Amino acid sequence: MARQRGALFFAVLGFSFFASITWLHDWPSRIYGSSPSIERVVISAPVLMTLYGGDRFLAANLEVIRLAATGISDGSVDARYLVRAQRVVSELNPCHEDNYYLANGLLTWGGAVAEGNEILQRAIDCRFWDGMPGFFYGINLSFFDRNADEAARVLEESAGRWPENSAALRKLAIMLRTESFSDERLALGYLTQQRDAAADAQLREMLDRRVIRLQGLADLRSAQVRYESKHGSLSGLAQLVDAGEMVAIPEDPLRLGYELREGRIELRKLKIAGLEEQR
Amino acid sequence: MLFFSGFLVSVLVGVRSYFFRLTAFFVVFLFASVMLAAQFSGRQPSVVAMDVGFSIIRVVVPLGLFFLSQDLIFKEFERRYFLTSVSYPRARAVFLVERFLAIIFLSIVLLFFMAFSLLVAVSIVNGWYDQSFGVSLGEKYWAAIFFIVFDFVILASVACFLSVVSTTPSFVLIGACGFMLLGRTYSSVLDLVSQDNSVVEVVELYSVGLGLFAYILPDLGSYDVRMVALYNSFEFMPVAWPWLIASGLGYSFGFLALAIWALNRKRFS
Repeated sequence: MARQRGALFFAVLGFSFFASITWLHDWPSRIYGSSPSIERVVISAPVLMTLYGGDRFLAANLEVIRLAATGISDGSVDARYLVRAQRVVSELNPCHEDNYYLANGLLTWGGAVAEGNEILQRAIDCRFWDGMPGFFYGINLSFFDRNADEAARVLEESAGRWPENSAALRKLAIMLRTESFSDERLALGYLTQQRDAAADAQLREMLDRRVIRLQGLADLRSAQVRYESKHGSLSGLAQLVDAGEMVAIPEDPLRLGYELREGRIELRKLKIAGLEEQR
Repeated sequence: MLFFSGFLVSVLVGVRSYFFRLTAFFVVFLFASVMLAAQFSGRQPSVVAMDVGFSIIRVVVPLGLFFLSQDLIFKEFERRYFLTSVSYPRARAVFLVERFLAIIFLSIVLLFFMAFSLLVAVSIVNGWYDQSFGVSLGEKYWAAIFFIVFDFVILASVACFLSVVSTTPSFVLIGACGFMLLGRTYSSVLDLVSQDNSVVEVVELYSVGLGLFAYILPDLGSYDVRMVALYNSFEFMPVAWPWLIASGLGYSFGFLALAIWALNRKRFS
């Protein structure tokens, strides 16, 4: 009995010696040195898939759940983590709907345009029945990259996949191409040709309204030229009517109207707070 | 008749152990996990529900299968039941085939319970959010479930072989799990590594070595055709899928024959 007690006593002695040294002495971190860089770890796709037992769908689902739940805090987005994490998910399962939807919102419209677009591109290739990633991609191309031709092509492709919205998407594609013309008469010719070639009644009606609007613009500009040759520079659209160059300001079927900006008559655009002007 | 009697006995042995409790536990676990996982998805809760359900089925049913093979075959030798079961004037091969078929049958029963539970769960999740593109709850779903069965047949034959040759019970589980993991990962890892150049330096080195694997292990990941059910389109069926089924059945036939050979040579101490 005394021998057992003695051994236990020495065990307690040894452990308390160890604990006291740990408590008193503070060893610095060996790996990081002075201060670690707080950077979240994103595991690459093949390793991640192996960790999830070879199941790439499970890996993609759980990683999307993780990034959606932890990538946003207090309204700010952890873009450095999300860019890498969403790319990995896109490699594992490009068809994942949540991933491309979040990528468009958080990445492209959050500043990482190319990265978000890459995920959308993979989604377009994988989801051959879905027109929405193409729609997002086309908008991104036209707004951020100012690439009207490629945007129009992608929107046409989406229109083929999405019958309910095909008229609106085709109209958007045609208008993007129309706006890339510098001369309004060439644009009007192209738009009229597209309207006449349109097979869809809804599309034809939409394009018809825009043809009238553009025609009105062409008339206003020719009236401006005539006015300025006689009276000097124009300062208001009403002057055209007063001087007799036009009977009345043309009516815009879209009810947006025309405006004089820096001496040039332009189509009045919808003012959306926060979005900059395209031109 | 003689054949079926042995089969029935094996089924009863398998059921006696813990089959119903195991099935009930797995079904409840599947249902709860699927409902919870679907809550996290904004745009596609039904797809996520079915996807997670498929993943759980593909992990849980093989586990049940390995436990069954451990019970039906390994325990025979460990607990010396072979003194009665193998001592009848019947070939040892017949005994093993009966046990193998009983394992397959019971795991298919487990699979059906889980598949029905998943169907119910996804139907409930369908009512939460109206997705733009729905999952398939009909023939495409059952086609995906049907394909998984061939994955399980291969795993069952490997588990049978391991049960015959191994000396410790844990080796059956570990060996079969290792085979399952290898079979499911190597092909997809190869694809992903060749896609993403930053992970490894020289892809060709890996592809040569891993390519040889294709002759040794079947590609278990190719039996996972869940995209057919998830995105409701038969476009996702693998090309030449009848050949895929045939090769899988050939592989399991080979492993079963290997197990029979091992059993015939086994000396019972």
